[in-house]
Amino acid sequence: MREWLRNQAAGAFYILGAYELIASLYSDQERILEAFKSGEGMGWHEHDHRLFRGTERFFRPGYRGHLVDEWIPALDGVLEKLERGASVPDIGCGHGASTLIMAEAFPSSEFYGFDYHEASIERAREAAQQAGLSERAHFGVAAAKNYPGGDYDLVCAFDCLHDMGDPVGASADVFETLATDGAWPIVEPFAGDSVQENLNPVGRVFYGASTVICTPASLSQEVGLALGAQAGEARLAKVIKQGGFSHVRRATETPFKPDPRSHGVSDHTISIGVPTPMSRHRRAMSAFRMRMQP
Amino acid sequence: MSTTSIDEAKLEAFMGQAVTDMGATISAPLFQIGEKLGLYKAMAHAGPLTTAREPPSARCASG
Repeated sequence: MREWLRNQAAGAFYILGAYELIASLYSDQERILEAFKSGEGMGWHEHDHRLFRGTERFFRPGYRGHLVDEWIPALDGVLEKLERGASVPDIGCGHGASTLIMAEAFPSSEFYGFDYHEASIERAREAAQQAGLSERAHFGVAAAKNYPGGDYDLVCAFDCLHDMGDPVGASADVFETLATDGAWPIVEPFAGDSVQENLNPVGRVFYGASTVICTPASLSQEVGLALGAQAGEARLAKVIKQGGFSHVRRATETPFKPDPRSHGVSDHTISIGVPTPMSRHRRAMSAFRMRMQP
Repeated sequence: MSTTSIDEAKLEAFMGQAVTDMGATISAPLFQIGEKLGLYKAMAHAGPLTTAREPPSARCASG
């Protein structure tokens, strides 16, 4: 015990969720080695179970600290819609951290968390029950390209677009399922457009996780675009526009630093898109990105 | 009610350390993958290489 305390005292501790995620990388190392040889990738669902909870714990503090207070208000008209009562799918929701935070904050709205990973959806349902939010936070197993429903006021995609095999197809599906005055908030890790801009301590973390988790996940699915976790705004905007949106705008950024309000870290970066109320085929899209500074 | 002021310099130093630690621990499996695939050896004597072409002595798919 004493030696453990000395180890802890000598370093930075606090971001414990990240280490649950990192532990999964060590256990999946041999599988990834094989994926390097075959080029076939490795599905999100095939990873060590610690990845799923670790990812939730890694991202939730940032959502808790910023989603409701900063990111949503930064988008034109979105806050008003959620307060009035909107119908909102949260695709790639995992354990439902972002879905539940929104459901708690906007009691007049209905939220639908979708993820292709069944075990994560089961966990999300349990969490909704525990939080007493089952009435307005629903969860279902569905991939980003075939979630049910349409005419939605908002579709959320937080920290998942780059993991998809076919993000262009997913963007087209979001476009099709949005109401004419709907909006698409997208959250993505902050990254520069060139590799050189990302060769810093934060980029090192994301390129590492991307090598073992994000890129193999995309390669294991149809198309296998493999954007990676540091795709950069230009590349992401291109993908989103190919799905039918005409404009992409960065709406806001959040720095990489501890967040006293959430007792965690705003340790991810985000972009959010909103089509303006224009004709269905001439939607402008605004995107924001949360800034992660090294 | 008490207010807490945050020492920005200390905070920045802490985050620098935390991110560096994370980067190091994430990279450990990647160092081993690179070694086992022969990527370091392949790069050591081959001069400039691209990922489009498999390094002659490495054992992995290109890309």
